[in-house]
Amino acid sequence: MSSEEQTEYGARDFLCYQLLVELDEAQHDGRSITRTQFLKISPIADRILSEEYDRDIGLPRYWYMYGEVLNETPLNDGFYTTTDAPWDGKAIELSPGISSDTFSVEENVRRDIHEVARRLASNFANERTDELKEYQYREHAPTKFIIAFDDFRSFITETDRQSTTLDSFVSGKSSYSPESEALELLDDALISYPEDQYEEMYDVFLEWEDTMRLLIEQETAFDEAEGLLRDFWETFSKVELRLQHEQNTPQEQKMRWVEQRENAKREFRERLAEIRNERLTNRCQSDVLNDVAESYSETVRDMF
Amino acid sequence: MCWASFLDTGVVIGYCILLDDHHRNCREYLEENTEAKLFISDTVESEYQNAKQKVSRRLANAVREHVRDIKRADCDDNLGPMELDRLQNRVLSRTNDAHQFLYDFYGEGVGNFIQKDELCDRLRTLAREIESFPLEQKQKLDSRLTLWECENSHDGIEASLSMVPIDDRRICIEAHDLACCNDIHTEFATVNPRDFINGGTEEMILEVTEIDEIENLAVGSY
Repeated sequence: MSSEEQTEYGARDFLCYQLLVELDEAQHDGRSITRTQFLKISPIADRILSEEYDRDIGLPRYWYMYGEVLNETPLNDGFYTTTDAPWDGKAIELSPGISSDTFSVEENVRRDIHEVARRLASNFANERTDELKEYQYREHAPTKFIIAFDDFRSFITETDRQSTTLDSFVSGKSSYSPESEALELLDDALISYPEDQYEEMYDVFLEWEDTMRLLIEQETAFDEAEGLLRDFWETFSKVELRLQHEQNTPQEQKMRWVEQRENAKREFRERLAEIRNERLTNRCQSDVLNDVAESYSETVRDMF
Repeated sequence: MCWASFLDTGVVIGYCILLDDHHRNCREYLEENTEAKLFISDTVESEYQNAKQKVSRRLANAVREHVRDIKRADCDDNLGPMELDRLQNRVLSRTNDAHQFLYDFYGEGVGNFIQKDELCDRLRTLAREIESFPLEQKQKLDSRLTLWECENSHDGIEASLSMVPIDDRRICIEAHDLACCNDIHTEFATVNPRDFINGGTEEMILEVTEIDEIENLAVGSY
């Protein structure tokens, strides 16, 4: 390759490189660096560089699903590879022939990156990726709603592992039950939803929230609740999170994300409607709407 | 004796979504005329689904938004007359789409004392009824409905129907097409006399098309 064609690796690439070097050294028993570990630790390092060292190296990152992740798309590729791992995941390795000299970075920036990478490797090597996720949520969650949603999700997931149905926990309704705790956590998510910030998904959220409530109240097998929860959050990540909480995303990539929003929302809404319609028609009816029949009908006619 | 009835969108909306005299009129017409064969077109089905989406979803979500506001409001678990008054007159936002009937809900459906959780549960039930009532009504109606596919354009009579607003003209032509294709009495049922009946429009439609009768199910003006 001629010198004109050589990739110029800069500070943000060097940060990723140095993290991989330090993690590789710190991991016990030759344990591989997982892709999840790498994607989550890089944004943490970038934040420390920015907040404690006053260094903005322009690392592209965004919040998606269960934490902040490195945006690999705009990085210069070639200095690391992703391989299949034996545990049904992905591992990251440095490419052969890559060394510190490959990167064009000023000496004082290099020094700061070295320090941060060493510190993070010391804190997080050999830990489960849950620890990285907990750290990000504790220190960097952009909104209270993200935390409240995760508390609800964790509860549903933990309860699901212990039993296939809520019903098997509950022998008659008492003042405390997993059902009542789940509904309280769902309430917290409802109260904390920032409708001005996450305006696009607000209507969908209200419908999803009530559908989750229906599933919990109707003592459904948790597979369905957990599946719907996961699908909602993935849609929410695509429509809101990655666009609202991102840094240094190239304009082209951002435009692609914006184009994908409507489709993601529509597909989820269709799935939600199917589940919702089935649950709504299989419940006991009440007369509550009849109490306000006239003014409700007038409101409907005014809307046409 | 068997006869055919082609339903305008407003009749389906009246039967499936509304709960007032319009609904009662449509319900009586549909449920008491058991010998009638009922028809709608794709146009009517599509207009109904759009209307239902727009109305049911929006109003149900508006009620849920008020539930959220109650939970955010700093009020006791035991709600008395003063707290209920505050929820009805200050916490319930005037910009809430469901303001009118939610305001009445506090007057009609709550009483002077209620637990906050019970109030929220009743409101959630109200929101769910707003969505489930149209679903159940449409299921009942669908069991009797036939979807009529209009294959002829009937360009010849479209010009003659110029008194009918363009959105309604298509439905009128579809009803005419049904009447052309069967040899039993065919009527067109509507809750919209302004566009299909008043000012000589009814006479003109009956003269120009094969429709035998227009059934007006409106209550007062619509």
